[in-house]
Amino acid sequence: MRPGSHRFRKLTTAHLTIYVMLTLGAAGMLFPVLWMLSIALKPANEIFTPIPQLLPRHFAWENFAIGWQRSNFSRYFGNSLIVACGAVAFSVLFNSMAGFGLAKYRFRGREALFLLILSALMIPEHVRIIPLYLLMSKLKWVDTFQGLIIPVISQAFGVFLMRQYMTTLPDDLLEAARIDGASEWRLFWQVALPLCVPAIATNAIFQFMWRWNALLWPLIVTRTEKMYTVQLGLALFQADTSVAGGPIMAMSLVSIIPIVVIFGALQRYFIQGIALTGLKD
Amino acid sequence: MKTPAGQRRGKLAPYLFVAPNILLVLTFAFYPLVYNVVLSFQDWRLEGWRFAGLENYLKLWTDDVFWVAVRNTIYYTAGVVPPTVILALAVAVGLNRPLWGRLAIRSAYLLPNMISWVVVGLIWKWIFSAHYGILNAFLKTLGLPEQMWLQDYRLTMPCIILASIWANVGYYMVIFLAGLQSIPANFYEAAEIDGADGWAKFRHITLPLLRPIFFMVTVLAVINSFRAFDQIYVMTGGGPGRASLVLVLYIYLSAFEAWDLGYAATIAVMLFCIVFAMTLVQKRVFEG
Repeated sequence: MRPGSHRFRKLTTAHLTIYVMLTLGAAGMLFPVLWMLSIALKPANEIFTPIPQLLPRHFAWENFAIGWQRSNFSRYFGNSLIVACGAVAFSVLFNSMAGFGLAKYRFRGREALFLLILSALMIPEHVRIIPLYLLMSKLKWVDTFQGLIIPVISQAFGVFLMRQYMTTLPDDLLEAARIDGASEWRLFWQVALPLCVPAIATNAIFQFMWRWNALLWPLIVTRTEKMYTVQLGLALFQADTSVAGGPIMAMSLVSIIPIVVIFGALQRYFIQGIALTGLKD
Repeated sequence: MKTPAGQRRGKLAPYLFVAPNILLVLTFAFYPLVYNVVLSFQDWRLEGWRFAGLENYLKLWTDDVFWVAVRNTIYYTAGVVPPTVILALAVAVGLNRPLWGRLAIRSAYLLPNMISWVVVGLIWKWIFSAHYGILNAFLKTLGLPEQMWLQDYRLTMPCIILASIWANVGYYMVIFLAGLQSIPANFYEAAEIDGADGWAKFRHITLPLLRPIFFMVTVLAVINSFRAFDQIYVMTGGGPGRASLVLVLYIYLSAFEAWDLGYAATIAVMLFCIVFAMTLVQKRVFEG
């Protein structure tokens, strides 16, 4: 027996133990999601029973139709899509511009302005909601899309991200375009921005996810049911017995699909974005 | 050669690029912060407002509900943070090696973090349901007594905490993984030559090198815990009684159900001070 083989066997046992534990843990993490799926597919009589079964006996696909149409979730999904995409568009544009200005120019007050922007990270949404609400009612933005979108455009996270990324762009490239007579805006829009796709993607993904998943601000700034977002619809209709159970779980399931699809397609940016954390605004 | 006009344009350009974002920061971050402090010195209700001096702060001091909310927030934080951080570290260390299906396992841990807090709340509300929940069904089949879970004032916080740990672990796991991957492999190789086993390597290499990240994750988790709202709003609305009333929920209820905006702003000032202090700690550790 070679001296190394014993060590190798010990290593594989340890390896196997870790593997089994990780897999069991992962199954435990997945269980609540699968349970949601199970409820979403069950008819009411299989949900409202003292001993619910793991799997549905009859598949109640109508839960999706009930949630989507009768409970008006199609409207809430549309609203959420407008809000999330609006916030992404404004965040990407303004944050990229600020990041470009801060990374590629030397000017008086640059450090101070960067610090000012970054310090917005220290003011969580939760301590701003009351003045923001008063501001919205003064502007007559309560219950409007601008009210849902504009106050929550990314103020710091995206700027930090873009500035870091744009600092790595070679100055020569910009200088060459400048000599060719390009305007400063063109330098930004046509030279710098196309090179920043990874940073833009990371910013866009996170802004979308945060806005799509948000409850607190939509709860405060909407008044009428026609302006509800998905999360608001789910939170406020869960107590309503006519929708509760299957249809609500079906709509919960549908609500996580956009995020899961984006995650599946752009996982790399997700992981990088989380690693930059502490910066959620 | 640059024309004077071109130079002026070049000088102005950075300010124009930064301006829209600065405007956002001033209007939607700093103005609300300052206005919130101003509000805390006013008796601000729907009918109108008057200057109230320190009345709101004195009320805060003697308001039992506020202290209940403080206690519950601390309870929530103490319940969520240590298990979340430890589990996240354990999973990250386990995943930081070539494994078959590593990406799939990582995704399974990260999935709950991508689900909104509202849906997290809904899922667990069904699991903990006293009459139709799978947990009670499980207890019943084992012949154990059923529980009221979220409707039981002693169990409601542990239930919320469990759901929150589930939703959080993956997020911090990813941060730990990034930290682990920055540790050079030759550190471990050197230790192996010296005959270190897995535990010794973890104890003497991984842990010390991961300390800054460990600390950062902890502070971050604490700050995030102080902001908890959505899942609690969905699962219990702060009940039963006030058993799960946390600070942000109390701000929300004071402002938008009781419409006592001045008082709610005062609670928000307190919350801001707490979170700000935590952020300073985090920053010090980052730089130090």
